[in-house]
Amino acid sequence: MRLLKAVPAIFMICLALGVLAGTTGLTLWDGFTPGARFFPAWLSGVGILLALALLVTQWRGTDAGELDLPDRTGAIRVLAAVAGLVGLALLATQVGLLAALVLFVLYMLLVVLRAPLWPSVLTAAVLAIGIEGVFVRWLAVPLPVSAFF
Amino acid sequence: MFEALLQGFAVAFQPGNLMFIFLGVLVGQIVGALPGLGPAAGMALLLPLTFGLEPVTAIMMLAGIMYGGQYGGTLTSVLINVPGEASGVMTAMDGHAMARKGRAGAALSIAAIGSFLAGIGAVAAVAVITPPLASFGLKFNAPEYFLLAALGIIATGSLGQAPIRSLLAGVLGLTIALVGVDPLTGTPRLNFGFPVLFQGIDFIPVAIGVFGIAEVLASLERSEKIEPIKTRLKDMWLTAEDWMTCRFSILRGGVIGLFVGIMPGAGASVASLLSYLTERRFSKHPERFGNGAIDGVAAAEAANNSAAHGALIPMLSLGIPGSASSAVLLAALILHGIKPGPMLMAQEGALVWGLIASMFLGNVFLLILNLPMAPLFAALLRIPYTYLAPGILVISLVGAFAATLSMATVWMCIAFGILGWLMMKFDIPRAPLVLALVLAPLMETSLRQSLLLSLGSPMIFVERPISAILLVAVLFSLIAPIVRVMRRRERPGI
Repeated sequence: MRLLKAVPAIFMICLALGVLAGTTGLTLWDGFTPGARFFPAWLSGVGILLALALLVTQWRGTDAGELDLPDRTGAIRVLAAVAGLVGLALLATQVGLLAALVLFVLYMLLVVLRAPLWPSVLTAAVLAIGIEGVFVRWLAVPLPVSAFF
Repeated sequence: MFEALLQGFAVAFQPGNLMFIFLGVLVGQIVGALPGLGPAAGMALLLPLTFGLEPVTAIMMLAGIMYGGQYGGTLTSVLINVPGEASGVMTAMDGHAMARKGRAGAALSIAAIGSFLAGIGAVAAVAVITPPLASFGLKFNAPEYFLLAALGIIATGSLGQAPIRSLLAGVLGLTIALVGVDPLTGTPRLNFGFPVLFQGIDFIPVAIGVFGIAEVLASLERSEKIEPIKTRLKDMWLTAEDWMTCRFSILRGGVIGLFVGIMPGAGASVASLLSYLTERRFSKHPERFGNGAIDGVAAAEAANNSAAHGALIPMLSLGIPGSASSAVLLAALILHGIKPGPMLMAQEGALVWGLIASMFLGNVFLLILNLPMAPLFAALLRIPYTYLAPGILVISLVGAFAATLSMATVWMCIAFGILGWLMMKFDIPRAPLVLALVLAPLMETSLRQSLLLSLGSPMIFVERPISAILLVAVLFSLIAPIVRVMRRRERPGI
């Protein structure tokens, strides 16, 4: 559990080191002018210091932060929803965004949330009509269409 | 001022604007009433929809969501004991206790009236304080802006229980803003050769992901069915004793909320907590608090609505948002091509005064929506969240796509949704990230301009009187909470 609690600090240290590595080709100081690397370098330093301070407070037990991890069912639902979102983004360019959204809503309601069939179909239909009406007709947003039709 | 305010009312009373103010407060009311979806998330979700509107109309509508959300959150706090967001926690304590005793109507009623009176007072304060503060802000130069932006981010952390975590979130927001190009020289920076990152990371996918998608993902973890306590219109009448008990609570809550709202980083949740504790401290019957004290509800609700309005004062006068919601509003201004800062009042007077006038009207709309129509909105809580969650997700993604017409934004939205959910799980506050993202360009540009002006000497931050005062405030906000945490006694059981 202690290792898990340290994840934010470790993430920040890695991110800060990544920023330092990613800006090596930029100038830190150019004559009297701070260069493009100046702010990222300072920020990385502050990030590392804060991450170390967080690790110290966690080690000493004075950190007020609490982990709020989901139970098994909750975790499965979240992972399934994220997988659905990724699937939606992948499908959008193949079958069109609107069709992908309808499939996503049906997947979420019927598979992930185990909702009854007809209310789920009705919800998907209402959403599709709403999105078509507001985004496509009213705001004239050109949503991605199917690559096959 | 009165002439400008009258002109503002002329703008707000235009039929189109009136309709969008109503739409904004209505959406805010609904968003606030949905457990786990706060005003900042609602504003971020609807921000792309405003691109087809005039800037003034868009800002009025988004502001309506911001303060409407404070009203709407009361419903869930009182009827199902689930605060729509953190600022409703204190309301839930006594409001739900009242509801269990059969006084849900009275709790909703005093919350609406308290919010209305405090809201109107706070809008009047916005109208009075903003112009002179903006004039004062004209004396600011790069060093003051750098320190003010830093204070805005740091102060968010200094007030909470976990300041280091808040500061980490702020640094994360600033780091995200580094991606793209260097704002002063135009040199490509941290794009790692990905074309989608050449223009940097847009505010919209971050805000929609971190607030909207993350909230829905977190709510999917829970599957329990919530049954709200029923309320009827006739239950909403307040007794003379209720009025006598609450009159000064509303006043105190409103004043506390206003001052807390003006402070950078504090926001509605701190305001309601402080107001509630003050009320309990000075009450003749402190034992009632937590068991259904109507003055506790009145004070907390007056404070959170007042704070939501008060946060607009530094945003409109100096371009520094005081809360996550006002950060979204500031981003909306920028996305609509308006430059925030002290010149805003001079250059966009119709927008600022129109916005202030719209908040008077919006509060009136909300009073109507929350008094006679509260039972109707309470019925909304009966819609199973199961059917709302996928809808919120798809609207989030379509909104993100509509903002840039790029699927890359949709991918970013999903990525930031996962990041936001992880932040919730690891107890890292999300508001500082969004505040930092909005303030980052100002902060970096001002810092480097300051050092350019001083030929590289950091003494420029000490030599100028206003910046010296701000520097002391920044250092105090930075050091005090860290020392507090370091000196905190070890908690048992860890």
